[in-house]
Amino acid sequence: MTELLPPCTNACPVNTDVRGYLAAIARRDYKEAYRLIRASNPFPSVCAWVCPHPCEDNCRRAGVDAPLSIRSLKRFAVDAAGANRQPDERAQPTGKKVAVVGAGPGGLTAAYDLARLGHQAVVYERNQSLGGHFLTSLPTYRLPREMLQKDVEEILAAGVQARTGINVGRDVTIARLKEEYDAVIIGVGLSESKGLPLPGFANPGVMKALTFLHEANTGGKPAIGSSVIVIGGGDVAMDVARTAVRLGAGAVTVVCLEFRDIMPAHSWEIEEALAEGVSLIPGYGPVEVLTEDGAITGLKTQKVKSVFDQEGRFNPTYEPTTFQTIPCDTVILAIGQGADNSFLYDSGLAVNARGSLETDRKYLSTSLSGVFTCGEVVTGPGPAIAAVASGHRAAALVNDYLNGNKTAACEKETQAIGALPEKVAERVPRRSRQEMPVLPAGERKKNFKPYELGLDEEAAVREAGRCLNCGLGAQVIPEKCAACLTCQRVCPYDVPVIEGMAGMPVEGCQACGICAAFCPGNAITLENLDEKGVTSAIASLGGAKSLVVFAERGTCADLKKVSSLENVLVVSLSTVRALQLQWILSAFENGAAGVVVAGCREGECRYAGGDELLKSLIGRAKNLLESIGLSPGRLYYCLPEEGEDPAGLIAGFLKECL
Amino acid sequence: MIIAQQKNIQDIAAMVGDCKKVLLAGCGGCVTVCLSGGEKETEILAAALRLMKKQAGQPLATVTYTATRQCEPEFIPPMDELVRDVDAVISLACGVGVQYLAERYKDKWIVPAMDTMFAGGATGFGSWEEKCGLCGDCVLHRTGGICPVIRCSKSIMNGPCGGSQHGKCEISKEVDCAWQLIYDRMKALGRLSELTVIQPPKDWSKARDGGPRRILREDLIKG
Repeated sequence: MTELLPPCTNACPVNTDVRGYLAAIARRDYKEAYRLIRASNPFPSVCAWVCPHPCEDNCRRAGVDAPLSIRSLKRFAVDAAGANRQPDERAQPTGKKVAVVGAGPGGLTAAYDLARLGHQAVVYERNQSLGGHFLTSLPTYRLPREMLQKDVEEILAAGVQARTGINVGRDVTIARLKEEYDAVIIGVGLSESKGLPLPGFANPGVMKALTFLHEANTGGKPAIGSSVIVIGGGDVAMDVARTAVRLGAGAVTVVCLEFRDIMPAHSWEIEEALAEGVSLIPGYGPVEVLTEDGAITGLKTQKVKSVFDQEGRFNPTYEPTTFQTIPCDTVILAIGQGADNSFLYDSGLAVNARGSLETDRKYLSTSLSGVFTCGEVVTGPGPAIAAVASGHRAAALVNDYLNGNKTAACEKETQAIGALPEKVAERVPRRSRQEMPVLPAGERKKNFKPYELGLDEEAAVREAGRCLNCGLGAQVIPEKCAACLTCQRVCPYDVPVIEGMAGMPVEGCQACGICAAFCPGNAITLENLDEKGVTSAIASLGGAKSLVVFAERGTCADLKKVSSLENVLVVSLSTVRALQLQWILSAFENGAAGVVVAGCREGECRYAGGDELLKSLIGRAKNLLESIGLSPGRLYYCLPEEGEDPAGLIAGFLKECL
Repeated sequence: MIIAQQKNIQDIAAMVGDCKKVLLAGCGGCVTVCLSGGEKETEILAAALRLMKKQAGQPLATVTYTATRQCEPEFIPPMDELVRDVDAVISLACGVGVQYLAERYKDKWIVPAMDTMFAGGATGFGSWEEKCGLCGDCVLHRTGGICPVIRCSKSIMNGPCGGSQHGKCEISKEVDCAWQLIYDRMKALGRLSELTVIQPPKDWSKARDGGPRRILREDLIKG
């Protein structure tokens, strides 16, 4: 069955529970946010810095104002969770051993999963440290290495063993590993930059991107001149160009075949590079590296007519007579990566016509039973998180293989919740997106220090509160629904449809919970409201003479002060307009000295509408309290005026009550 | 549907003043739809009664159950176990439901939490209007779909009377004159001439005046 997911989760290769961790941030439970992030990704800290966040590209909030700043929030959660984290649970040892070749995101993920399943996972890595491209290719200004170290340490703590400085194919063959281990996973990645068979490109002054980045990232000083041309239009080309700027090149120019609007690099990478002074010449292809006495003097380029043919295949054509020569003294090629196939030596593994490893993309198998693959060597170049996803799958398949399961772990089918209906989007209150604060371009380009500063706590909580909680909305219990139309009449977004019984289209429901508050049959339940959590929080009073404050979850930052007051229990709701009368009564029944309904200041609530309904509910509650002999004054609807501090008002009421 | 509203809680409490444990029985039918006696209201009433009695130093235990409909005998037995150890049952159904409970639980004190008001419908969220007089002899085809039996204060069949003032009934400026409405609608339908036909006196024996009514559908009754 196809699983319906929020579009952020569906777009994420590892289906990260984005909605879940944003909700945890909104309620300031940062350890839970971190746990949720890490539940599907053993590289939470790395991804918090470098993930290209396909989640954001698919966020339905874009239909209202702007998508959530999801990676910034991940970064905040990772930072805020601190060091005191829960150790991973591990299964009993199985006695099975798996060798993983390559300690990049794919290989380490596979090893981590296998270790947690009780297998002995041993990673073979040719570098002295673990991390693959994270270690060697990503510029340190984008990924501080202590972040990588943090994730790697947690992976090793799960029981993964690492043998570094071993070059598989040269120091030990895969055939040998196969004899020694019950299974082998090849996750060597694509570690070789491609070259160009064009005149002048054999000049030693022409460098390759990955070699250049590796050297720069490990403290070296690649020999570049004062005028650098980077060939390529992807993210790696941007990393190279920005690294060259930081190394002190006076002029850095990116030349690529693609026109500006179809450049493969992410738009923000291009914009940040331009802000740092990188020049861009899109739509030109390299023809020849020009030299004089062995020294590079320029790059001859030809204007591109088209990049792709009618079938959409990469097949550039050129304007026959339009050339441009760009002076330079250094050329760096960033036109794609391929595998270093030295690991295949004496392996007995089948290779294709191009000499690359023959693999089955679905089952990640090779020509040898028990030898599997994962990561870019199977999927081709892509974001690290895709390699992580591939590592998870490889581990699941290897686990099946080791357990003798004939049915290979199948990939679940998922589908994203559809677009936000326009009529709903129009009614959602606008909230500006909290962007990641960064150092000014002029300052950051001077060195390799990280330039993303991270959101502060209040900005992060506010931003997390913008999440539309896709898919956490109203669910109807059919046997209780009387088709009374109440949900339709009270919904501020006009979402419910009544066809025999109430239906709550998942695309439209904003998960505010107002319908549930008024449903006379208790036929509506919402994960976002967490009715059970509310009732158990109230029950936790256990007769203690306290103040119960019903408040909207997360968005009213001032309530942080309220919850720190003695004798105050804050019960958070999706919105205070979802308050149910029986909860007020229940609070008094459990001994509350007073009940506060903490209203939002005008324009502060994340949801539209419902004010009048809440006022009516409070009016009814006060009348009822009077009828049963309780002072209606013990119920306080706190609606702070501009400049009033809700915490102060509530503290004053607390004094009156106790 | 039947429109009912809850009694004052003090009146309800007085009916079970000597009880230590009561069952509050909600109804999933009309009173759920008119927001007065469904599961939610049942729980609210139970909590309010407990609080009230606790305040008075006479704690009251409650159990709740909401029947699909209390006006069908088949939906009552699931309450048997709950009824057994309570001192009374407070029904949040209309008067029909209360009686079904009283019939089944002959030795139990069954009390109404509701005042059963009328046959009518919603005019918006939280407002309901009486629409049908349950006369047993419908005349709506002669009156443009507007019931003179219940919407005319005098239930006259050949209106309007002299108390009709600017479209309102003499009893209140808030009450429309039903016969003005009938006139306007028949005129709009081009059927005004039909109102010139004098209607004979209505046979009220088909209404409540003939005593308690029953319907027996021979075609449906087994055996």
